[in-house]
Amino acid sequence: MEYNVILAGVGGQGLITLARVIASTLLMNNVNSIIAETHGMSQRGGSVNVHIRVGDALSPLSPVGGTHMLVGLELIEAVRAAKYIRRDGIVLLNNYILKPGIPGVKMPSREELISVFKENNLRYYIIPAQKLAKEAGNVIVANIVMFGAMVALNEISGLDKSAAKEVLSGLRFKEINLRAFELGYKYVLEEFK
Amino acid sequence: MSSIKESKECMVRKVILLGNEAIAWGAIEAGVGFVSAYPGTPSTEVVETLARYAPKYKYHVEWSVNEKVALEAAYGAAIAGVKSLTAMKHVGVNVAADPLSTSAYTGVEGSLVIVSADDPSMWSSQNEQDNRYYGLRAFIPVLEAGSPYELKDITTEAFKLSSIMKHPVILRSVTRLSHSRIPVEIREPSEIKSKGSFKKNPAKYAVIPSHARKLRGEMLERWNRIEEYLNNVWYNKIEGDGRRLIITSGYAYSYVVDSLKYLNISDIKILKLSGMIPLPRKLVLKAMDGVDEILVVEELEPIIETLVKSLLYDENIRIPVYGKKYIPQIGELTLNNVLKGLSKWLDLEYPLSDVITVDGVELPPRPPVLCPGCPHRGTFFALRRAVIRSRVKPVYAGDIGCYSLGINKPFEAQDTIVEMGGSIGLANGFSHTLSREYLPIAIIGDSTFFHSGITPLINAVYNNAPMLVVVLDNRVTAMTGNQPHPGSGYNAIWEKANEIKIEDIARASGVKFVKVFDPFKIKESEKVILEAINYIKENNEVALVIAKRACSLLVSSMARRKGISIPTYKVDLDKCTGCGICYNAFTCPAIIPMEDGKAYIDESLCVGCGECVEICPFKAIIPSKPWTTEYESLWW
Ligand SMILES: Cc1ncc(C[n+]2csc(CCOP(=O)(O)OP(=O)(O)O)c2C)c(N)n1
Repeated sequence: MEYNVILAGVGGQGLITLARVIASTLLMNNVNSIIAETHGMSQRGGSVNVHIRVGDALSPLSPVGGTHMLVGLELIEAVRAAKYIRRDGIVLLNNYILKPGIPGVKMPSREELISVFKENNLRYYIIPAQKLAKEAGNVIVANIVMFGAMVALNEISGLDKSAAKEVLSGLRFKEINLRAFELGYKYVLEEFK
Repeated sequence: MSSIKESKECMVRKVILLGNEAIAWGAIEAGVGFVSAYPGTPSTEVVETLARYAPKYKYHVEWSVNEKVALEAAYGAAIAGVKSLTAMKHVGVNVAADPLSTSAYTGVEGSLVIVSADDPSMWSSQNEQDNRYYGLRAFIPVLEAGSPYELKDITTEAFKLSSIMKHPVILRSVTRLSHSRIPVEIREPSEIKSKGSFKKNPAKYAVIPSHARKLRGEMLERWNRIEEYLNNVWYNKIEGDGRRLIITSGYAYSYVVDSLKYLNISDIKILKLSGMIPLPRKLVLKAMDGVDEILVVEELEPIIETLVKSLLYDENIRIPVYGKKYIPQIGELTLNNVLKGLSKWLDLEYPLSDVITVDGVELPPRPPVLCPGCPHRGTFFALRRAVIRSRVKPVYAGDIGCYSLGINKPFEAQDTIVEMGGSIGLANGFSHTLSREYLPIAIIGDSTFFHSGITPLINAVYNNAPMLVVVLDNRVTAMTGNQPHPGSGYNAIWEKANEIKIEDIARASGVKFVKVFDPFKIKESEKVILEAINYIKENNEVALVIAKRACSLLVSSMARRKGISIPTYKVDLDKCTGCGICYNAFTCPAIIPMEDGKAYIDESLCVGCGECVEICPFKAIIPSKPWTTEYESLWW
């Protein structure tokens, strides 16, 4: 069995940390995964995709048209990565738009961006991760709010709450991260289940 | 990360490692005693990891000045009988190609593993050269993992092969291997030997023509033995059975295995080659037995395809061999393009054709940009102003580093970018061939200057090629993640080291106009640059200026680690007129335009460089959290 995930966002949003937390949680339950990421140019505020292939896969990249879950930490980047998702895939969106750092760009609206997922009849969930992260103590942990939401969806076997919390407890800002995780987790249960 | 699972025997732990960390652990477990490298994406973390563990395991580790020196140092250590490793990005091997090409003639006493990390799709490189060719043409075997999971073990195998044959080995990686993360079992190394001995043997190691002629014969003889060896290793193997054969080179194997699952096919034979150069011909012939058709799946160039075709001709076997007819030659392999190739070859339907539609929304591009507080921004801003005021026609001979981003609007100050050191090098040609209304301006980083900027500078002085050289000295090699270099004053494990000053080198090279400025002080920077341009106009000579300020990413992360508060600035909205100079002409990502055009500073991004204070014509930018002496002390 394999389960393919893609994380999309902007350099600096903690995508690689998020991927490592996911892989570590899976490993706690003896599930293998491969993460693929690009360093270098993409780090300097550019768009970043991180691929996670859970289970039996041997190769590093999640396929276009064959990815089960898209986690967008920023809406423009989520749409840019939308081609990866399967028709029956799940989309988790941070309700957040970050303007690219170049002068005079034309920006799409929030509605236009979200309509891509709506019109393709995908199962999508919008999470106010920036707001919940602030509530947890720092916007920087929006990635972990999204992690909480992912775990709450209960779609990936091996990605369970107790292992997730054990992994987060080993991180540097343990309290804030655990709070962020709980807020994301609770949000999904309360709003969507 | 702390998801370390301790297994029953406490010597083995399973941890999630970056591919490059897995390579580093393979080297540690193999008993590496000497490590030298020059950073380059996607190879850098191999030696960053080895540097982290050097104090514990006591091998030598260094950032060398460039790849040629790195390879020579590792080669020397290997001649002294030590197991040594050097790592570089694919184009780094070009820089090291001279010693590389002769290393196979002499062989070594210990072992010499050269990690070449190639970059198919050019995620952070200027070309996508396929370094398996280096192995072929320099008679150096090439090993490459069949999937990210094999990275650690293939590394220990590279050391083993090198030790047995006393011959250099290229361990090839690519971006997708080096920058994958996988669970890896690691164990404590058995023995690390970092001291060697020297036995005089000039007939072997002093390659004068009479020796070289003899050595060449010996090398070819070793080459045959290496091929023989590669016929019988676990990483080269035949799997499955069928009348069709797929031959895979390196990690193409992982895509083939995954693709066949998607296609639900099992009556196919696979020949997995992870030690593909030299081609283990006996094993290939064995795999061909009873086969009607062959597809070679390899990334980039048709190297194995060509070798297999030539083998078939020699053996008088007539089976169709395909490769680049179905598998793209440009860019990296993906599950999609391998699946497409296999579906076409097998005449099956491509299983992933049902994709969602994303039209109607126009997405703005999001290129990488200079970070908030990046000293390069101040330098480019001042440089542009000085150039406009001096009325010269600039030819910006650019170079490779974070400052390559100066190619973008609004600075557009990189007209050529070729390779490291190419800035001053190309400017030599511009200077002698363009009329004096043009001013060749070479823009080069500090690490790049040490790597390959010194020789073209000496050339410019010697052959008198008037030009302005702007060295952007942010104290470290920033592009690849802030490694120290000879100008930093620190070594690879961040102990104090001898600091070599760029201004001293420039003066010793005969440059008469040498000045250092602080790019956070924009007006002063502009003045110094203007002075340099006037000097060139009057004296027809080289002038060199150095913009000296540490990388803001490094300083702000040090501040965070040490708990030192980072100063910030804010906009006085009464004074701001919304002219846009700060966000349109200066383009600091922390300064964001609001609906009414006035500026807003995002304090979570601001690192307090204060450059924007000087560029605001209305004095509307003011401190919100002032500088402290602790923060001041972090910039060196
Ligand atoms: C031959 C070669 N080796 C390594 C690299 C990788 N690389 C790209 S830029 C760079 C150096 C950047 O450092 P510096 O010149 O100090 O500029 P900065 O990024 O700090 O602005 C390196 C090592 C390369 N492109 N070519």
